[in-house]
Amino acid sequence: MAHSRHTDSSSIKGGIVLSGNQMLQVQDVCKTFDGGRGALEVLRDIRFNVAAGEFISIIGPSGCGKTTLLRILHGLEPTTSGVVSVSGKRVEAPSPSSVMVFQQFNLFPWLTVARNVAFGLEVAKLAATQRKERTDRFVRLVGLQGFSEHYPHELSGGMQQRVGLARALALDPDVLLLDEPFGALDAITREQLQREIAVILAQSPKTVVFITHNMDEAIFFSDRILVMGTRPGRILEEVRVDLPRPREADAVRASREFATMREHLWSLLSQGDKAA
Amino acid sequence: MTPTGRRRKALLIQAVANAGVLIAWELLSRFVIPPQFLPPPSMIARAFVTTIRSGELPRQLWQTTSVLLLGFGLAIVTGMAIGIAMGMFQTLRRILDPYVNAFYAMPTVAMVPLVIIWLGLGFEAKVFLTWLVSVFPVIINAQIGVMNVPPAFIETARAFGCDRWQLFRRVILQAAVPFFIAGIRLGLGRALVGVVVAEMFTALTGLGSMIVFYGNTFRTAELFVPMVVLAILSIAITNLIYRMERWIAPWRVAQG
Repeated sequence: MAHSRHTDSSSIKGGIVLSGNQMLQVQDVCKTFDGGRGALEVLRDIRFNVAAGEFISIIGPSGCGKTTLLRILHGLEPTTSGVVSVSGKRVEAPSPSSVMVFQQFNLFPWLTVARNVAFGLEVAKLAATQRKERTDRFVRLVGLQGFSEHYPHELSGGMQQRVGLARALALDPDVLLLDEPFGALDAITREQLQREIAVILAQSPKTVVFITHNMDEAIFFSDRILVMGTRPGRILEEVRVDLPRPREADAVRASREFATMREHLWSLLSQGDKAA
Repeated sequence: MTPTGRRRKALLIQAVANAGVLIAWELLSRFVIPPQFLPPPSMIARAFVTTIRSGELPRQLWQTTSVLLLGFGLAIVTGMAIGIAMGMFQTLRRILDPYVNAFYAMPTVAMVPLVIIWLGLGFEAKVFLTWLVSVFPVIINAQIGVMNVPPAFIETARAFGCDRWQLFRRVILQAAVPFFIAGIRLGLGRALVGVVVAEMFTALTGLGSMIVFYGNTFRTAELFVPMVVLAILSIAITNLIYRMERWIAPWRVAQG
């Protein structure tokens, strides 16, 4: 994975060198839902690997099964056939090794910001002092110090999604799964949060799978982009993004590579639609 | 005008209007309507003073409240337990649903003779009647609350590794709190009716007995005393429930 940004030193995780090793492996995953009107094939032969520290985006039109794929990666949904494994371990149910950030935030309205961030840590029965330390650290990391005792409904959408991000990062997962995390935000908040997440990920690199239907977002964040087509959902092409890091949103958008890549993605996506 | 100024003005208007109503009532009852039909406020006030001085009102109020607190308290505890269990286990729901619905729909008074045959005319019968009429809204709302937890919360809980018990305790019970409170609020209304019905149809005690006695003897001013007290009692307990909700679920009240 020579193109991943952290193949050199930061792919050392827990003292084990993972270079050449895959953090997330997806092998021939198929998914068929049995509905009232017969079987519906949602995903066909999905096959890809993600190296430690790599950021990949999955992009595709609505209904291409990308959210189903993410749920399968997380273990929330079983595969019809095929295997998903994280750090070599087969995924069959959700485990703290991968954690999800949801499009609609999905914060618990009865918990304060701090308790929401601590949710996964409480479930994992982490000792109180450690829990407190980690909660404080991640509340600060997403810039919500001073809001610890607020309830989610007292926060703006952007702030709520920061809580969602802190809640996920606090578990220190091997793989971070982002399900259109900016989808429910307005344009300005979206842009701000994108920049901040880029900074956060630069500070503490993670293996990330990012679902979106926004090409700009995909290019800005990713090492690789998997383009999906519909009916059934399948991977049309894998696009490498070789823009140097750290990336600056405006500079990226102004570059020629960006324009070329965007055009290429667009042609793939519109083809995929026509083929369907 | 500032919000406090507007509030003060609204209060002033209310006070003036209420004073106007009381004065008009006083004048009407003194000069137009015979006091047996509608006693003037001053007579009712005097009836309050005499029933408090004689110790009758405090004694009867305590009897009513003790039946209410015990009967309704038991209804909250048992109703929540049964309702939550019915919400969690489909088999139990299938078995109990027809009974719960039948008892909920049945008018209170229809059950009085049977309760008397079972438990007599005393304290137990009154507590049981109060429990019987107020437990069903608590059961039904607890059950609905547990069954209507938004799927997104359950999914999130699973995503963060909750086992079944953690899902139940950390998410389902929390998300259902507004329904629990709604059930308790509905149950309270029925519990108050239950107490008074029980006091009027079994051995005469409490505020219910005052209503029956003063009604039968045409002492209308004294009749108003338990009526007013019941209204105040109902408002006070509703207020208490509101405070309880704000304490248990601050997120909910602020959301409106």
